Amino acid sequence: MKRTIFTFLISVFLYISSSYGQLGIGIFGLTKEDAQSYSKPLATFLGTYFNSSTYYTAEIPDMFRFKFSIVGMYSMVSDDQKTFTPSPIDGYEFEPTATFFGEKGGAFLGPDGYRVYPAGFNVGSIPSGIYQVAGSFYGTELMVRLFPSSTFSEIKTGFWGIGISHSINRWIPTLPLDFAVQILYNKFDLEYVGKDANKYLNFGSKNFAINVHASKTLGGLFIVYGGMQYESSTMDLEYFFRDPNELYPEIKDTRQKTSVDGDNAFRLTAGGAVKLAVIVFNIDMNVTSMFTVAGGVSLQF
Amino acid sequence: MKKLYTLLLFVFIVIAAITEQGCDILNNLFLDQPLKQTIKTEGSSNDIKEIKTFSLSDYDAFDDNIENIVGITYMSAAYFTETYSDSLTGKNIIVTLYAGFDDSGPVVWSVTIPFGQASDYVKKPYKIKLTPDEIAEFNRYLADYEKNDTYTAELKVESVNDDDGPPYSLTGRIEIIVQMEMKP
Repeated sequence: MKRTIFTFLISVFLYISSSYGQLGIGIFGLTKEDAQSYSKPLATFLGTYFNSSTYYTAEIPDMFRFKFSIVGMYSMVSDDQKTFTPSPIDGYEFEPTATFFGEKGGAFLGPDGYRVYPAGFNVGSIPSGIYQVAGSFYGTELMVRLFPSSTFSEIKTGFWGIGISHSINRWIPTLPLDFAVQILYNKFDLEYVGKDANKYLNFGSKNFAINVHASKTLGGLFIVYGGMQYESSTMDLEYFFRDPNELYPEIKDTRQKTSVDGDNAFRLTAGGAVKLAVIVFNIDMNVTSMFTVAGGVSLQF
Repeated sequence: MKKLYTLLLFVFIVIAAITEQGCDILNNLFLDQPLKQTIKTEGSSNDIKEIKTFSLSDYDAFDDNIENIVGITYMSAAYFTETYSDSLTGKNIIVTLYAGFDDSGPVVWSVTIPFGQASDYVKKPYKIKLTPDEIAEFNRYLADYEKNDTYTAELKVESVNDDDGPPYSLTGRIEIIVQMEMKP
């Protein structure tokens, strides 16, 4: 069991490490404005990822209940999230070039020389996973996600998240369905801590969501659930600017700081769960900036 | 309880497999790298020329990712005039790229750019068009990037003249875009 958990975590962080490499290579040559456009879909993805799979029932008992969940997700990247048009500059005719999730970068010739933009991941969908624990009492549930800050080959990373849900039925017991409200905050940090100053990259993703969700338990076995959520995501970026195009000598070899908001706004969720004794399987669809299918298994007692 | 552990183990494996698939979805990364060389030609003879030697390893993107590079290919190139002596005239500007540390190495490609007025290519790039054979030859050298790390660019201006007489000078910039394919 320990080995499987270890494999799971290592897989997550191998993914993060590779993503870091990709983001780093891409972003080191971009001005702040273009770095924002290039990495915006990544901010959106992190917002989608951290704000997914936070409930499968709106029923929150008065008695103590514990849940441990492991969730897998599959998020779709739309075509418009794969390209951006660089900030306009006199004498240049820019065409769409790759974002972090796009394919080919562009090289545009103009009066100051070539301006070269990085390629991206070239992916249409992103698999991911997360785990969480929750405990409830008196119609209120506290959910926690945590990966302590750890260093993996020159990359220091970690995340934590917290969510609080409260049962509306506790105040209006006559409602035909179970209703609950939930508020969530997740934070993810990643920083290069190696010795090469010109590889420095630090990004922190902050994700907030608030939702109202409802569920109906049928025969004590099946749960049908859905909800509406407002969500937002912000990614703070600090990176070493290398000026590969040799067009910005005044900021060459300096750290650049910027912040980018994801396209996250509203989400509709619909799903179902099966409860087998203390095990609950659930799957849901999320209509949001990145359409996401999430499924999980929870130990609940 | 044993069934529960089996079930959880199964789920862990599924999630781990999905996440590991996340690593597999990372395709090779393509990074376009500009190779910019500014060359100042100066002299009093009929033709003025100068060379400049550079290495791919001079560039951070190449140097940092050398272990992950799986290939390098030529994308495009352009010529700019930066400065020139007053009322400079000439016949042609010839840009040549040699493989190796000086102009005694094999010619990778050479282009002749018509010289109208000295200001023609100031802030107005001349897009260099290589022939398919020249592109293939350049790509052949680039493919063997560990062995052929160093190139020499030559800027030559033919039949120069100036109302004020010699010495004549012209500083030009050659920009070559190569694409590095890297493992994620």
